[in-house]
Amino acid sequence: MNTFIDKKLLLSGLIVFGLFHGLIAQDFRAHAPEPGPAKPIEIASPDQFALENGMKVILVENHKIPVVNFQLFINRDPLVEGEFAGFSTMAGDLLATGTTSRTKAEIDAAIDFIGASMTTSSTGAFGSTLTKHADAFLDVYSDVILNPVFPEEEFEKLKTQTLSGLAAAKAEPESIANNVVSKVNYGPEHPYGEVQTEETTKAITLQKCKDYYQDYFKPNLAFLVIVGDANHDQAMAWAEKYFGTWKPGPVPRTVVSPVPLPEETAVRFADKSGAVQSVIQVTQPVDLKPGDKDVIAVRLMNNILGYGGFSGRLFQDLREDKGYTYGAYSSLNSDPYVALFNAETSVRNEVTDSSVEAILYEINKIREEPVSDKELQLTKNITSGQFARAMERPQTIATFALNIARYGLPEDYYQTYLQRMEAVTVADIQRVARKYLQPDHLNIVVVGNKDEVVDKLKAFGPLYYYDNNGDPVQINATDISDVTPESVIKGYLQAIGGVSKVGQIKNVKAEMVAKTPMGEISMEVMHKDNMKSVMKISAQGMVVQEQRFDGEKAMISQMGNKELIDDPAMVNRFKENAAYFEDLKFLQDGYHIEIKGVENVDGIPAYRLVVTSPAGSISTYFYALESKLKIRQVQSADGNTTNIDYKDYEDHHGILVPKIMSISGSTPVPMSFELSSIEFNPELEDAWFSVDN
Amino acid sequence: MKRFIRFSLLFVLGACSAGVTFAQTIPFEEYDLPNGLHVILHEDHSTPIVAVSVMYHVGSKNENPERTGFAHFFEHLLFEGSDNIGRGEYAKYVESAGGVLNANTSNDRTYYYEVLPSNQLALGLWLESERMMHAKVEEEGIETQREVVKEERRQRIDNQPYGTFLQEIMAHAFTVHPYRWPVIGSMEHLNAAKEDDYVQFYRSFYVPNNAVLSIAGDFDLEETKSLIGKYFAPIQPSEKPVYRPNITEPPLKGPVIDTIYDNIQLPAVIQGYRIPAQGTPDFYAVSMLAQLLSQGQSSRFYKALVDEQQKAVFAGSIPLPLEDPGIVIAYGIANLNVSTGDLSSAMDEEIKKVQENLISEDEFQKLRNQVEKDFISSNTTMAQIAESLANYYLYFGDSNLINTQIDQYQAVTRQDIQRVAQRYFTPANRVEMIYLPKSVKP
Repeated sequence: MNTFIDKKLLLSGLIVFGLFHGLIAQDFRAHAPEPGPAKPIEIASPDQFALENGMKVILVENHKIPVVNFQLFINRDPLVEGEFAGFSTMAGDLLATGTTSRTKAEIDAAIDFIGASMTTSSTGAFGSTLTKHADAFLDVYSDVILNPVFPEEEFEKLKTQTLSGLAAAKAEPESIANNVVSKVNYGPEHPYGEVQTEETTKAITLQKCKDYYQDYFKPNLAFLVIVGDANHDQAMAWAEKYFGTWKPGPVPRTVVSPVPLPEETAVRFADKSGAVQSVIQVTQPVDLKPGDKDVIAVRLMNNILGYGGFSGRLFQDLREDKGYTYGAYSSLNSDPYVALFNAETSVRNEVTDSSVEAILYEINKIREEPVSDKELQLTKNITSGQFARAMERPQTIATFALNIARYGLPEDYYQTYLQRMEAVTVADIQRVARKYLQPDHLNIVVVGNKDEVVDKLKAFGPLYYYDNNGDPVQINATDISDVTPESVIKGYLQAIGGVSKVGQIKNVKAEMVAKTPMGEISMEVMHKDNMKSVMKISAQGMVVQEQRFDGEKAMISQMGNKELIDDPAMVNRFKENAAYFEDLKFLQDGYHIEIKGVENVDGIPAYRLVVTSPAGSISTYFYALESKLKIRQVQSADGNTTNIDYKDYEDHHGILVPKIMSISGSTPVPMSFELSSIEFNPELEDAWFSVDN
Repeated sequence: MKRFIRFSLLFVLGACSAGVTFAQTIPFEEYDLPNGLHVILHEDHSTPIVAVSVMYHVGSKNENPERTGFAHFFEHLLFEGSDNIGRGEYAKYVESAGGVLNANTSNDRTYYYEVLPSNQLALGLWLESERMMHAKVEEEGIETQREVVKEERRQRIDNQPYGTFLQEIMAHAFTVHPYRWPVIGSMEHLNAAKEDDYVQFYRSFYVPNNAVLSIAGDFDLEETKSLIGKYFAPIQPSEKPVYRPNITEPPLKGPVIDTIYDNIQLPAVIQGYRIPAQGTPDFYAVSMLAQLLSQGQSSRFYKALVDEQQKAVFAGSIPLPLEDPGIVIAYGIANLNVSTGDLSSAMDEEIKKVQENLISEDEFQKLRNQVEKDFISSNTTMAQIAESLANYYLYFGDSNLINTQIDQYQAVTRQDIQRVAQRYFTPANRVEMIYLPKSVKP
């Protein structure tokens, strides 16, 4: 049968239908698509066994790629290192520097040859190798763990490097903050409260490192974690062959005392002269052990408060809302002895107090108000996402197994983790916030510019001062109302030989030597008529750098390349520093001097004087109260702060001069110069100061 | 019985002596959509996650010389939103789903990716298709991101010790080729550009025929292909062919030397030698030469300059894999009392040793072992695999290089390494930037 269909109608119908369909088709883009059903996360159980000598082996098989990772972990108690703080770290670093049968070069060559990698530490050693080279790898790896010899030469090299690293870190606000946080929360006697300093490092001996190794590197304390392309038989064979002869033995135990909450909320402040930013860490110790029933709720609570992405409340408040900072986060992990809550951020000086206020506000809010269902669900999504992504790395399973063994967790702890996480309620979040966060018992640690930020911080509680190592300093309440800055400077000049005697010195020539990790450096300075100056730095007998000022023009020469200085500000600085005994000038017109108070400099109470030159340069000088001697000066220029400490004054031709001058801040590594000779009013040729030759 | 034993012995011996015996082959499927989008899919059900990524074949070298920095700028701009995604919502969607996201730009291409729980695959496809189809390219977002890029430049380059080194090397090594300007581009150009300039850039380069969609992880193949069709097939290709520069940089005729004063404590010598493009036989040889010089503590630069002579605190060599002929970097950060002239001479001395003496079989075997370990370890996560597949297709038209590229390395001989040292590591072919502390600036 023929049915007549109006083509036009059909056509227009199709067009309409097509449009309609197109609209519907586009509609699906208007919203984010719904997720599918969540997939379960499979968590395999690792293979575990032990050798006769007590070493435990954990094997996580993964044959995706022919690579095997080995981790040896020494499960020792925390250590109290006391006056030798840092020796265990050094011992760990020295393991791969020599064994009974291999030098460092031989170890490096053997590992590099098979394309493997290996690192050692105070609690063991980690390495990664292609399966086919595993035996060659294990030969070196086990040698380093079982037969290290701790060569003296490598020990000395490491010590010097460590001291340089510490000296450089000394001035870093983050380092300073960490030191203060450790000491004030745990106490300096607690294993977690110890801080490695230059002093403790200098005291470390090679024998202490060797003793550490002898005490703790025993198979009965060790886990060997094997992850990757290996099976049970292979793992057993390797463990037996390379570690079977390791002899077990007794190991020292540490008794760790519990840590009390701080009695009150207080501000713990460390000064960083000239800082434009404050590092803030709001902290408190927390009693929360791994495996505790509250651990998961606490993790969610902390994520809501201070997650490391954009969705944490601290981030939203301090960055998105108020623009104080690039980031603000919090952490609260668990620990068998004592855990730490830490809400941290870095902010400009002007908003330091407001930032502390905002952090305290958020801490109080999460305790006082229940979180929303939406927020809780979001955090659960984030946490299970983190979990899923972590499962991509076989190493995660190994870490799980290690945690179960170390902390005595139930065997299925991680398999049931996400279920238990789903069960956490809004009420649980509030309960753990109230239980573990204590706004009346916080250590608010701030490292920043004292002159600019301290006053406003006093609103948050009593304020205490700390030095770079985290030790308390007394800011003296000594009455200075009838002490004038002039009298302080005159007192110094008197103490070193007398105002008139010092005033008669026009020329000075001095030589100093410093020992650095890169060898010996000597410095020679000359001043003529308190108007011209020369400074020469030499290393290995060659002049490396020379600066000259002829009274008007200045020149710097580096390895023979001479450059005249045309920046007037810089030339002016040469002018200001042209006299050896510059303090005399401070009493002259044009100089503005002011006493800012009394401070302890390395334990010595000293007047803090701020001196402004006629050209506007600002420097800070410290003169000891008792001895009257100048013990420190701090100068800022071009964003760099130079700190010079003066120590061990001794008599030279009737004038007291410091034997030791320690310079830090503007040098690659802090340098301590020892005076070898000094002459007053010697004959000095003008030609030596000339910038023209 | 005897035959059987002999056979299995042979098999075992064969396995042991093969040059490359790694077990892994990364399987994948690939096809094109009618609009030109190339799709690569790698299934892996071991973990319930999926990496969704798009690589656009646009980098700084595609830019107008008066509008540099656009490619990198777009990396930021394309998080501003789309017709259906509000400003700042991109990251929120991913994080709320329990995922992570990021992007990066080079001289040659721009790459966007997210890693999500596998039940959120559709979310990843929606986000990337929205970006490709109708991202917001308008004044408000442009204004905001100008500030962000300014800040990024300050933090990553200006305030970082030696942060300008790559920019300086490229600016001195190239006079006509677009590699001469930095990926982050010029703030002046970004400020001078009008909204229409940005829109034109988007329409020219952010098109399916200039892109690779690469997905790796736990997904169902048929369902995924269907979703890809739904989200990406309607996107229109560009009308005109995509602009690719065809500019040959003339020989350097160096050495080209310059001094930079920076906020640093230790002086540095940073050199760049002109070399062929990635994927060429000589590039692989140069890559192994760089290993010889700087991979591991037994390497030439480390052992001689850092350990024995103590002339440097750090020293090494890095080849830059670029689509057009590029450079290899050699660098040394000087120790306290060492001059840059001294350090430069010491570096030259090590190069000379390679030029004049064929490396030993042992050292050569070390390099081959390092290459093998690195190659095998480089494609383990879904994010790594997705990016590698996209790279290999985009640059070489051969996604399977993810399984075979190692053969190119294994084809390099000891003689090749010596030859490329002689051919490319010469003063005439070198730019040298001397970095000195500002404190010694005249």
